[in-house]
Amino acid sequence: MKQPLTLTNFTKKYGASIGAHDISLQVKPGEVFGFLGPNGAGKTTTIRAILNFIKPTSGSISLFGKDSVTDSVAVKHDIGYLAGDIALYGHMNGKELLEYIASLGKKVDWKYVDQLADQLKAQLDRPIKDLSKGNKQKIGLMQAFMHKPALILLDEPTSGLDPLMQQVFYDIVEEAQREGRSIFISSHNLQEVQRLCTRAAFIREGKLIAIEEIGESHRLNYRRYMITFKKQPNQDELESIESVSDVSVHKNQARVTVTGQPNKFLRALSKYDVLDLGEEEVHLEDMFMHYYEGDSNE
Amino acid sequence: MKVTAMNNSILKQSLRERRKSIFFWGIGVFAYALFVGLLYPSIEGIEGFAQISEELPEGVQALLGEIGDITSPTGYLAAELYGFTLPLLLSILGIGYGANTLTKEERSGTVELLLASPVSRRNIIRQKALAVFLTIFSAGFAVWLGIAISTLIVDFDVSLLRVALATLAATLVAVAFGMISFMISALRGQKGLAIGITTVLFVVSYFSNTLAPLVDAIKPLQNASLLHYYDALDILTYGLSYWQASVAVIVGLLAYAISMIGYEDRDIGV
Repeated sequence: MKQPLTLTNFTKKYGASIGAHDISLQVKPGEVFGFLGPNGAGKTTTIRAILNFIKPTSGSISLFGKDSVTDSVAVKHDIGYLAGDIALYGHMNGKELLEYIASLGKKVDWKYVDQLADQLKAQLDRPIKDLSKGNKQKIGLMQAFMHKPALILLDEPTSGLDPLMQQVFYDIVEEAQREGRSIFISSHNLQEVQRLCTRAAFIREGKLIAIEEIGESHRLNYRRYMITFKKQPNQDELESIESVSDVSVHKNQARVTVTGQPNKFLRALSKYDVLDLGEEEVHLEDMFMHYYEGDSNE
Repeated sequence: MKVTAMNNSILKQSLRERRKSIFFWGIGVFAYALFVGLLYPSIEGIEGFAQISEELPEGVQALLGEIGDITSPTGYLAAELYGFTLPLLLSILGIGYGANTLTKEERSGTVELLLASPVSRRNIIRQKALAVFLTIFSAGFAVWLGIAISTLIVDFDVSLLRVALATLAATLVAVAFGMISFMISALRGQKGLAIGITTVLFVVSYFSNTLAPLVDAIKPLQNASLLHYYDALDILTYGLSYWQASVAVIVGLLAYAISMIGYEDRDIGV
């Protein structure tokens, strides 16, 4: 089977500014591939070029062995797309919208559409302009998946979804992956990429920094914890624990970063009287800082 | 083998989205045309009107356009509706919708749904341009219908075939301006720019046509004026020549072709 997606030295310039610079990557059949970077890093630019909304300044993009520009129409039968800030026709209801998109040439499996509507609890009979952001996002997800495309491009797919629906979304992605379809997820949410992806590319300021195998990457196994102790802990002692860094202590609370397996951290923690332990969201910028520190230490 | 859909979904959706506007424009111009027709008997009876129009200074006559005998049915129609008002009204409709139909999708982001589907950009242009044409055409038809109904109510002796041809000619002029506006929006993706440039073109076209008989320096511009090839009184009196109709058609088709090429190569939604 031909590679679903190959970027070869893809560059996009807007006058003097660079949207994406010399990006090369390949998404394999059946792979969930993460595309991770802060806002403005070039993720959306890259996705728009893959879909031929914008043309590469140099380099090329191929989909299933076909060129993204010259074979743009043909390849779109096999592509699903969810925009980051999805825009839908407000005067239509969800069902009308899905029918309209289907009428544009995608071969839709309507039984699967019903199944998706059930799974996501989508409201298909109300005008889209009256729906909340989360409910619009559900319709956006449905139109991306409804024709069971071989490659699905998702730009910030869970924005607006509540945690329960995020879990449903993860189930849908995993099911698609089991069926051998490839999924390209652009995100600035590290946990989401860790949860779903087999590999991830890291992009910053338009440049590809690295491509990592998620499961095997020690550096990506990176979490922030907030610990509440019975008594104020000693900061030096916490910093001396292997795999722990970025320690800050305030009264009886401490924030720490744990890299890699958490075993040693948990064992060390058992010596203390711990009242509470919670995981905090990792900000991508922090992760990048950590990532570069890792590079410089090696 | 998978084939690219060549249906008219985008056209239908564009017209459906605009149905209220199409309806109210239709009602508006229908009512206007109907009243123009119904008021004819009261103009017909005014003595000396023809003499007044003949005695107007040359400059004023040029600005008003060749209106002939305003008390005759054709002269009255040319003066009150077809000479300037109708091409102006239909061009306003064409320029506005021509500028908006592509750029609205781009501004709102819904164009991404179209571009992510197996539809070529040329197909999008084809259907959107057809929507502009049908919108203007439907307003033109409403005008003809208004005149036609007025002839059933009052004694207004005009050839409905020639009225149809004059309406068609005005519609084609409006389509040409609408397609120029559409072309600019396809090339640049900016509604304001498309409306601005095309409105200036219309105004220049109008004044270069009407002032050319008075100002020698403007004469070369007159041939470039789209309105120069639209002579309402002539069409209402003698019918529409291929030559008169073809200029607007050629300009419209040229703008359409440039829209196709320009839209194909442009970065969209940036």
